[in-house]
Amino acid sequence: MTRIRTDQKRHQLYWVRFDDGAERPVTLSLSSGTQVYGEQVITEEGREFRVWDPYRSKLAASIVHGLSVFAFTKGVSVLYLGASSGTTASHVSDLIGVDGVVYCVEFAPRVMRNLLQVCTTRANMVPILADAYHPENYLQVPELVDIIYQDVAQPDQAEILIRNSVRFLKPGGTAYLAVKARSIDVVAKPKQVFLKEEKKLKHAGFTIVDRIDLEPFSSDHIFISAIFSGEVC
Amino acid sequence: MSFYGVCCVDEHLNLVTKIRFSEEVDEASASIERILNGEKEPVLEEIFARLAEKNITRLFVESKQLAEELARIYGIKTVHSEDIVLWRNVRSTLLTPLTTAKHRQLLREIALEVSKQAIREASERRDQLIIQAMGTLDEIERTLNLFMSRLREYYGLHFPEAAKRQDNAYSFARLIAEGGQRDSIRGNTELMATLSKATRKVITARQSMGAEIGTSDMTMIQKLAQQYINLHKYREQLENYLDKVMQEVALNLRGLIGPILGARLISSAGSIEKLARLPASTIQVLGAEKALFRALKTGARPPKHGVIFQHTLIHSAPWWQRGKIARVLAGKIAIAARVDFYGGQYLAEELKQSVAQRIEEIKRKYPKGPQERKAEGAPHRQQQAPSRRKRYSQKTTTKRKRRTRDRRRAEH
Repeated sequence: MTRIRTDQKRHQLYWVRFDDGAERPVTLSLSSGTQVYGEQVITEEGREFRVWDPYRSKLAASIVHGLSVFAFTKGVSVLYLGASSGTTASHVSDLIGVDGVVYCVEFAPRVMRNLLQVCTTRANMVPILADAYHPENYLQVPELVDIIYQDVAQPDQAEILIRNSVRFLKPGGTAYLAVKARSIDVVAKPKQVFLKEEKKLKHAGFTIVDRIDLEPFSSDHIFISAIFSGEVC
Repeated sequence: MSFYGVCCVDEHLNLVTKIRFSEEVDEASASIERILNGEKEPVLEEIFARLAEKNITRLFVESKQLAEELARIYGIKTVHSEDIVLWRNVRSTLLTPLTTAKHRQLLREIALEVSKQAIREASERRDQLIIQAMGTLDEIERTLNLFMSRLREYYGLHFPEAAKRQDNAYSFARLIAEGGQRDSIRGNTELMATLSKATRKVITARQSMGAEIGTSDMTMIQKLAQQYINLHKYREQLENYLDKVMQEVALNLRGLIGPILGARLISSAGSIEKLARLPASTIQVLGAEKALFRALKTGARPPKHGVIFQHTLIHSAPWWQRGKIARVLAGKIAIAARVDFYGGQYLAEELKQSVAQRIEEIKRKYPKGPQERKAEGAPHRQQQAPSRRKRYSQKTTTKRKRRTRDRRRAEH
């Protein structure tokens, strides 16, 4: 018998404990009756929860590993770069609820097709088909956001995050980024790559508050949380 | 400008003028699409008319793309501004009232509509059709081989001597579909006439090791053979179709290296546009990513060729000339792809000629493989790599192994 409970210590998230003892975060589905990527759905007391797979979502992986700063509360606004098919974005959408908004930026038309299907069933997701390297072209975002979440797997991903933050992130806002060493430099050692990326962020006025190695869920990835000073030079 | 409408402010963020797009989703998204596609849009015309009344002649826009478009279409001095603080302030003060639930809902619906439209346009491009057709072709190829080996096993129960004949897979499938039982093949003179002499001999021989098979069992085998034949015909049609589309999309590429290889390159690159933007060196190793990254990582020798190896000029050349030829060919492919994408005349013939010329030169200059390495008995792959890097593999390749490998590749 699986039971869902909230954990006060772990960001008020819902967790499920499976029979084999494994614990996984779950999110209360915003659009009941729909699955996004074939995830397991658990119904309890008439509420529908979607199991958040850390092998599929780097945010889930970092939560399982004890992410310390967790800003995805009800009603916040999120700029999501590299939303892909909407796997993680749909859970973010669950977390922030109907009063929040998640602007999903994705550049590839093919995956945008899947993302659009997710967006149509969720009232707080706004799709943006655009190149994250040119945030000045997002006409869809009329505000400064609380969170920028980035998972783009590009060699210049720190630069992309900075470009977006100076235009769209509130002072004191949180930036999350999944750094994939292999897509920045296939040759260099992952650790060197991570240090270099962090340095770039610090230089742009970020304070790094957390870094998490995503092994064994994704290899050669780390997950960085940073707070933005809001000083734009 | 945002998805809600257009507003103009002065340097102190005081509102000069503003217009909302329609609150109807369809109308608003149509307006936005017109603006993004560089067409005239009444809302903008209205804005510019109002600005002209107020003697405002210079306008700052956040998006560089948009600024250029506006200047081009309306002839108004629009400059894109990199003043990030300004745009931040616009968002945090002026636009914040637009973040109510009602506004957000409208924005979301417009954004959905605009994205849908953009995706529709992206999949209308024909090179995406080429990529899908190419994938289909590869899968059919695999399926045909699979079916054929099953068919030989299956039919071999009844007539192993005929199943062992390897001459032509297609005629073998016809043999089963139209003949079936041994006796009915022998009785079918029309069918027999299409077969090769040696096969005919095998079939007419009295003795067979095969078992007798009932009609209902044979029907199932024949149906499989029929599937094979249908698929075979479909492959031909698909190839013709690919050739036709390639003529429309990538005439020069097709002229230079043929429709199939051209289509394969487009599919490796992702689109004709991406292929046109790739450097020749990348085109040379497209399809050999695994070997390339291994080379980068470990310092092993980089690959000489990717999918362009399938071109006869490369795989029929001796191994020591292949890298050189691949380089020449990749250079010309890059030119052909660029001419195809950015619009230009037909120059495949000239490209072909200059490739042929260069290959002549290569053949003249390097008629024999590197002699000294052979004399030392060291295979060519074992050339000393830079010492500071780790070598990938210490395995030696013997001359015989190398020869069989090259032959296999050529057959492929």
